[in-house]
Parts: sequence; C-alpha cells; structure tokens
Amino acid sequence: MKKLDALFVGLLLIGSLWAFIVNTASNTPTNRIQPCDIINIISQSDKYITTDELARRLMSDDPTLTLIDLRENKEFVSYSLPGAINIPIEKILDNEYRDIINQDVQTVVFYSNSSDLAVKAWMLTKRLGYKNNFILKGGLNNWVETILRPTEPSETASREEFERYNFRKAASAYFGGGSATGEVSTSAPKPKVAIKRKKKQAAGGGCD
Amino acid sequence: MKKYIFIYLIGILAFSSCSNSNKKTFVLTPQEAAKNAQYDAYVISPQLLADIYYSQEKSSNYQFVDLRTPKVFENGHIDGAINIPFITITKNDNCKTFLNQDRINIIYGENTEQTLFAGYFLQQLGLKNYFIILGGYDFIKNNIIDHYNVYSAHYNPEIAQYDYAKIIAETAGNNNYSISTSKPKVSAPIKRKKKAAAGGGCD
Amino acid sequence: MKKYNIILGILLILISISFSSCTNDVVESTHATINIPPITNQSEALANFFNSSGDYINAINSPYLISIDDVKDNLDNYLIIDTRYHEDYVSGHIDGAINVDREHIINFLKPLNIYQYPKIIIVDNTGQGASYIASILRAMGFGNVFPMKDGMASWNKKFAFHWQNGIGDKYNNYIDTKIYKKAKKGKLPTVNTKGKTLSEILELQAQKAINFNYSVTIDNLIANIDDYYIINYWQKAKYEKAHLKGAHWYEPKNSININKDLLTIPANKKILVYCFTGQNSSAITAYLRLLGYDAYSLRFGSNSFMHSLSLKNGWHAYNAADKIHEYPIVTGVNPSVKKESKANTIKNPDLNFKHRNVIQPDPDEVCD
Repeated sequence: MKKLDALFVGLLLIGSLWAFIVNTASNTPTNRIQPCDIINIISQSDKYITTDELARRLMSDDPTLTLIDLRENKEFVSYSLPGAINIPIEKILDNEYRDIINQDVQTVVFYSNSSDLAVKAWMLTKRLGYKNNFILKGGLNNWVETILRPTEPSETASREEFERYNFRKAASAYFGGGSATGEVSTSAPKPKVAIKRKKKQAAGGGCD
Repeated sequence: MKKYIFIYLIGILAFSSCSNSNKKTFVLTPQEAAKNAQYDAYVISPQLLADIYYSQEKSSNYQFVDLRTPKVFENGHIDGAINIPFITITKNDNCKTFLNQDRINIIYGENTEQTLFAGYFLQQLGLKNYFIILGGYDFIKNNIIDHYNVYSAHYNPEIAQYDYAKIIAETAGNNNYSISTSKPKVSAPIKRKKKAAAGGGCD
Repeated sequence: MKKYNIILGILLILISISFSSCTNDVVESTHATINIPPITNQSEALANFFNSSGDYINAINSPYLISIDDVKDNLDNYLIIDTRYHEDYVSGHIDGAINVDREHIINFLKPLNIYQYPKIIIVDNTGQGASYIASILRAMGFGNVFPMKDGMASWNKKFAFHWQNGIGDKYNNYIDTKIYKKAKKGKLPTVNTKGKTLSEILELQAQKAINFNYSVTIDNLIANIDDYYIINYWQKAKYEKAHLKGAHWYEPKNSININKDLLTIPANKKILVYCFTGQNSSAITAYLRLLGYDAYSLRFGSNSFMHSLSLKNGWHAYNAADKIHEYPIVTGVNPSVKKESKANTIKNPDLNFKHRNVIQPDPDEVCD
C-alpha cells in the first residue's frame, strides 16, 4: 500500500509539474501585465498631453521633454515637431531605443498624424511597465488645427477662450515661418548629450 | 488516497487561471504587437457602416458594441447596440461577448482614442471577430448616420490632413521671436546604441 | 487499487489536455467579414437612405451654389474642378482649376483626401451641369462639394455667350396661370443594379446618372410637351402668377421626399423639372435620376421662355450687367501659371486619362 501511495504521489507531482510547464510555456514570459491590468491602466492613468500644453513646453525649451515621432522616416523628414526623434512604430520596442522610451526623468510624448500610432505605442510601453509616456492628443492634424492655424473664437466666447486663442496665435508665430523644415536643421547643432539616468539634471540640454 | 486527490484538485484550481474560459492572456507579445501596429484592416469605413446601418434587414452575424458609460449610452446610441463600458471589457460576461466567435462585434466609443485602445487590445488577445468605427459616437451620429457626408478614402485620421511643411512655410514668423536661429533641431532619425540622447534641449 | 490507478491516469491526461488546449483557443484564420443581406428593393432603399441620412436635397442651402466671388477670394484654399470640354478648358480656366471630365469625377475624388480642402468647387459653363454633378456627389457622401453659381459664363465675358444664348421669350403663349393637380401617389421606379449593398447601388446609379444628357431645351420640350410630366419648382405665390402650361407645383426644399410628394411623380413617364435658372432643377433632376426616374431639367429654366416677364417680376432673370465679370483666366493645359501651385502637382493616376473627344451634333443639345 505504501509503495502504491508513493507511486500515486509521484505521479501526481509529475502530472502537475507537466501541466504547469505546459501552461506557462505558452504564456510568453513578457506578459507580465495581464489583460485586465492593462484595461485598468488605460482607464485610470493620465494618458494625454494637449497640443496647447506641448506648445507651452516647447516654447519654454523644457529640457525634460522627449518627443517621439512614430511615423515613417519619409514623413518625418518632410515635417516634424522641433527636436523630435523618429522611431517608426514597428521599431518602438527595439532594444536600441529602450533607453529613450523607458525612463523616469524625461517626459516622453508620442505623436503621429493622429492619435492612432501614439495610442498603440503607449499601450505597448504600458504592457512593459514603462512610465512617463504620453500621447499627443489628436496628433499633428490637431496640432495644425489648434496651434498653427488657430480659429478665432466668436465674440460671445468666454475670456478663457480668448486667452487661449491669444496664446495659440503667439505659438503659431513661434512655430511658423519655415523654422521646422529639415533643411534648416542641418545647420543647427545636434544634441549630443546622452542621458544618464537617475542623475540630477540628466536631461539632454545645454548646447550652445 | 482521497486526501491526495483532494489536494491535487486544489492545486489544479490554483494554477488554472486559464481553465476558466472567460480569462484570456495576451497572444501577441508587445514586440509582435508593435510589428502589427500599422495593420488597420479592422477599421470600418463610413460607407460600410452606412451599408450595415441602412440595410433593410439586420443581419444576425454582427453586433454593435458601445464602449461609453451607461449614462451617455442611455442618452443615445446606434440602434441595436449593446453597452460594454470600456473599463468592464475584461469582466466575465463581457469577455464572453468578445470571445464568441459566432458573431462579429462592431465597436465604437466616446472618441477615436478609446475605440483604438479597445481594438488594439482585442488584437493583442489574438481575436479576429471584431471591427472598429473611428471618430467616436458624436462624429458617427453627425457625419454618417444623421448626415451622410463622409466619402473619403482618408477617413482614417492617421492620414495627414494637411501639408505640414507648406503650412509651416505659410505661417509667418512673428518678429517677437527670432525663430530659425534659436530652435533646436534634429534632422534625421537618431539611432543610438545604449546611451540615448534626448532630443532637443539646446538653446 | 488498479481501478484507482486507471482513474487517476485518465484524470491526469484530461487535466493536461485542458491546460494545454485552453491557451490555443485562438481562431487562427483571416479577419472576420461582415455579411450584409443584399438589398431587394433598391429604389426604396435609396429613397429611405436619402431621407434618413440628412435629406440633403431639401436642406436649407441646397443646391449648395457658391458665388464666383467666394471662389475668387479662395483660389488657394479650394480645390477647383473644371468639368468642361478639354478644348474649352485650354482656351481659358480659373487659375488652379483641374480639368476632370464628368465621367471620371467620381473615380478622381474617391482616392483623394477631400477634407484637406475646405471646399471642392465644381465648375462648368452655366452652373447647371455643376449643380447636377454636385447633387450626385453629395448624395454619395462627398459632403464638401459645391457647384459654382452661373459657371464660367459669369466668371469671364469670354464665356458669357453660354448664358446669353440661353435666354428668350419665344414661348410666351405657353405661360399659364391654371393650377394643375399633382398625380395620384404611385410607386417608386424600379432600380436594378448589380449592387448588393447600399453604397454599391448608390455608386452604380451615380456613375450611370453622371454621364446622362439630362437637359432639355425649351424648343425640344415644346415640340414634345405631352411626353413630359412637368414639375414647377418655385414658390407657390409665383406659381399661381405664372408657370409653364401643364406644370405641377412642387414645394421647393420640402416636397421631393419619400414621405411627402415624391410618390406623386409618375414612375413610367418622362419627368421635366424647371426653376428660374436651371440650377435648382438640375440638382433635383440628379436626385430623381438616382432613384430611377427618367428625369430631365429645362435648360436655363424660366429664363429660356419668359425672360422679360421674369425681369419685370424680379424672378432671377439673367442680367448681363450683374452677371458678367472679368475675373482672370489662365490658358493652356496647366492648371496654374504659378509653378508652385498645389493644383499643378496633384498626383492622381486618374488625371492621366484621355480627355474625351468633342462630339457635338448640336451644341445646344449638350448639357453643360
């Protein structure tokens, strides 16, 4: 009897182990965050940065801002936001870019023509547990509509709307005038300071 | 003996996060999902939505799913839609709805972003029985259902609506700012190994 | 004990199977497709669709005419599509206008991101053909299409003859004040396209209608006046004062709708719609044609047979002093003289089509 008992226990152990292995093996190890978690993360976190907010930070030369352009290189070359880095969406998780995207010093803002690719990039980085990433709401199309070509509020509009419009007009002048084309940028110095994470004032700044 | 079997069963239950058919794990790794991010075959065009919405008989093989909160859902929704608020997508019964492969779910939400999140989520679960409508409920209501005036191959907002470079050239620089000399620029995609630089920050 | 053994063995196997199978329950196949039941009554489906999706033909600003001054002030913003014959286009067009023949216009617009332009302007000789085309495009869902009012005849005096030749008083004896009752409600015409879904049917009907020579001159109408069920499309007070003999009054921007008077229009007769300038009636004609009616529009409307009376009553009579302008035109095949103009660089394979040959047995017969 005892022998049989031992045999059963052994069988049971082997069986469970096998079942466990089969179960986890098909679960790829990168799935640290489960589906239900990601839905909660999406619902609860602060995901977006508005075009106004971005314009404000760009105009104050905020050194803690990293802009990631998720479009194809061709589109990026023809126009991009000042200082943006081009990482096409399919390469967003490549190892060479990990240090740019996974960090807690810089505010990383994803953008494309709309929110589409930024939403996807944001969700992927959340699955990997990255922090400090944001989506430019409405993307470049919205950037044009609100910042580059702001519409004047009607006469009955509130004071805030007028203030916002005045800000946008100033921003339009700031970002307009052919400043952001690729040609101009060749003469401008390229940022060279690498980020060393977890250090004070690690952000890339201070050239010129 | 019975004891052993009992213990074993408990052990199984502990492991079996999956034998409960409502729970799903991601089928695509984040890396695989990134490669698929450009795939947008599951976006419904306004024409197709009009075809579905105005077809004389409703087919039984699709189901509109509204991701907004119950409160706004009650104020108006696409005829025949069921309400599954975004936050409850993974809850038991709702999860079953999405896993039901006999039917196609046509999903829309409060705005494009919410719908994209849900669509990309389902894609990563490996599901193929869903479509999404972009633009959010208000856009769909105003521009497709109440006033059918979206006939453009570029309904997908990811297409550039403007010639950005041209607009920049047209937008006059103001004297208050000396732009071209003071702005930092990065011209080409930066490929760095390991130590990455932040874009910008010079002055 | 052996029984136990066997039971346990089976249990283990079952459990392992359940474990390994559950993560594989993904349907490995191509993306699902949606099956829509094919539409059986096509004209009814179209009429209901037009009614419940905005009723564009009865909207307050229908037929969406845009003034030539608006076009002139927005040459850089609007996309201007010139639908005239290539010869006419070469002899002079608005700066930046692209020449697209009407049969190609749907395929030209389809791949285009139309909403990058605040407005898309359709241009022709007199504004009537443009109204017709714009009405068809609007029905299809091209929501920012506008016909240019009075056409090139108003833009530049070089083309003014198109309108000037249209006016006349020859058929004063056909002016009538008698009120004719609408016909009894009948059925919609039969539409029998190969399309299965609404958008397919709509596109096939649109492609068919856009090419049709839908306009009738007053001479032709009078010669065959009994063949037509005539629709007068202007205000009731004016109808009571004067209209074409035999014309039935239909309230503008209200009556042509499946739930109103649409079904009083006979499905088995030729329909003639007229208004003051032929532009409103062209839009209505397009709408009726999409629904399967054999509809026509009277060229130049009341201007063609009661111009003097219209002038006297102030009923949109053609008046050269107000209508003819001398806005600049560009000659040649290039859309714009400005090299950097966007219109010169529009990339679209459909622009490489061969322009149709001008075959004009009778210039008056061809609608603009």
